Amino acid sequence: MSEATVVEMSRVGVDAPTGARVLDGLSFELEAGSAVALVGPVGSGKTTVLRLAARLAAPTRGTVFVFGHDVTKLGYEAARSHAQRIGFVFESTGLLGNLSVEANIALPLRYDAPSELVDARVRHIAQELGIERELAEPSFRANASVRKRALFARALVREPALLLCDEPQVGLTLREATLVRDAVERRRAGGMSVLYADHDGELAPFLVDRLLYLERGELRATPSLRPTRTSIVPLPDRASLPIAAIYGSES
Amino acid sequence: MLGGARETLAVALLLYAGLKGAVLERGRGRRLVVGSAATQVYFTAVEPLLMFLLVAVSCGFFAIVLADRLMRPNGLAPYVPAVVTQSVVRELVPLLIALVVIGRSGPAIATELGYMRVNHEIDALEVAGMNIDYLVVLPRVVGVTLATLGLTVAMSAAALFGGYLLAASLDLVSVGLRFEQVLAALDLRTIGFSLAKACAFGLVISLVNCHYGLAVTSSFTEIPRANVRGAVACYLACFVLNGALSVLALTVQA
Repeated sequence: MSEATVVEMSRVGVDAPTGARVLDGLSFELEAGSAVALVGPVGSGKTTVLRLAARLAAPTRGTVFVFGHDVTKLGYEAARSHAQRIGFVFESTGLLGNLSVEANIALPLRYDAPSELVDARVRHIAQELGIERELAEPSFRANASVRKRALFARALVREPALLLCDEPQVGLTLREATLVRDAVERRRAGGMSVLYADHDGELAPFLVDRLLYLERGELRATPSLRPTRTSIVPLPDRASLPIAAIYGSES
Repeated sequence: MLGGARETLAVALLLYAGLKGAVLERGRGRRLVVGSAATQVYFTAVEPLLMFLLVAVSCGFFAIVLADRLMRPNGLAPYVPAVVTQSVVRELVPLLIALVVIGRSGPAIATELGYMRVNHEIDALEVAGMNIDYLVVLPRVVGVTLATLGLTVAMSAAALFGGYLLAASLDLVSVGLRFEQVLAALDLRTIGFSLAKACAFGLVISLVNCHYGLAVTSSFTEIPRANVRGAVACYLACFVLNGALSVLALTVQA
């Protein structure tokens, strides 16, 4: 694994408690500073890939290396340090309902950062994402758009080296998604890597360098899109894909 | 049987993990833990305190009146104070507290943690590098245990003093039974066993409900099941523990 590789999964398999295969033989790499989107239908294992990288799930088979370390073999302090370098954006849940939006964003910092730093950083990221007016609002009362941006803010407030993001555009209007995209891209320019998971590949306006297509836990195709900085990265036309079975058995 | 042993081991490991987390975290997030434990004490003991005190007075009242009325005519008057203190302080009060806490705080803990699981709040804390056993489980365990200990002291005092005062004001105790006698019959062993029971019940109720709450995986429909399983396990464990500690107390006394 080269130093430029942030995530390396090799022949990863994950079985559900029922025995069903969630992932099977998945191998891919995410390079430093790049953005990759995992695309596939519901239940294809996209979120599980994100959870593996965040150590929220463990592989049944294969190896998962993040920042050069096998995530299943991290000691206590190494696991903490691993978590501090990762930001995770859940699809729509994940905010602590009994806390305000501000307290939710500050959560990763409140544990061990000096309190004078916390407020400044929370306000800064809230301004970037356009939710500074909603900071005092209880998170359970916030609308879907504020909740999603608060999830992004919480993930970005610690300036992570790797952003894992489930369904980035869910709950956001194009204008709001653009604000978020800009915040993400500013950090990508500083070297942050991003792994998106999306069910239909309609990632606009988020930017990706590469798409990986997952279906029933397996990597079906890796459409080699040219690295793009355009605002819209559509799922390529079915006919142009190297395999025809991109949507199940349809040809 | 095997399942029960496995669950017991899992519950014990949860306590171990919480304590280990406290050692490994070396004071990080202490304010969050103390705040959370204090909130748990408030919800378990302070908020329902009036209800607990009324139950205690009523319990003490009946114990004093019944012991006095049934024992005195049979020449057992010298034993009335000891019977009252031991039955109220060592037997009734800890068990009553356990029954109320199992029905009130236990489901609250299992529901809250189950909801946090389904809503990915637990995941969010883990991703933020926080130790769940230390930050979520330990404050609830400490909070409920402190609450049951505090309630035992408060309820015992209310049961003996309030119960006697009520019985005396209604003229239902004989002239020969004075409050000083009841108080003098309260020995350290009785207090020790009462507090030991409270501590054991607090630990069991909080740990069992944390265990079942955190065992919820992905569906809201699992939460009521976690509640029921937690309550049944707590009732069973508390009755067994109560019996064992009472037998031990009687053995020591003999």
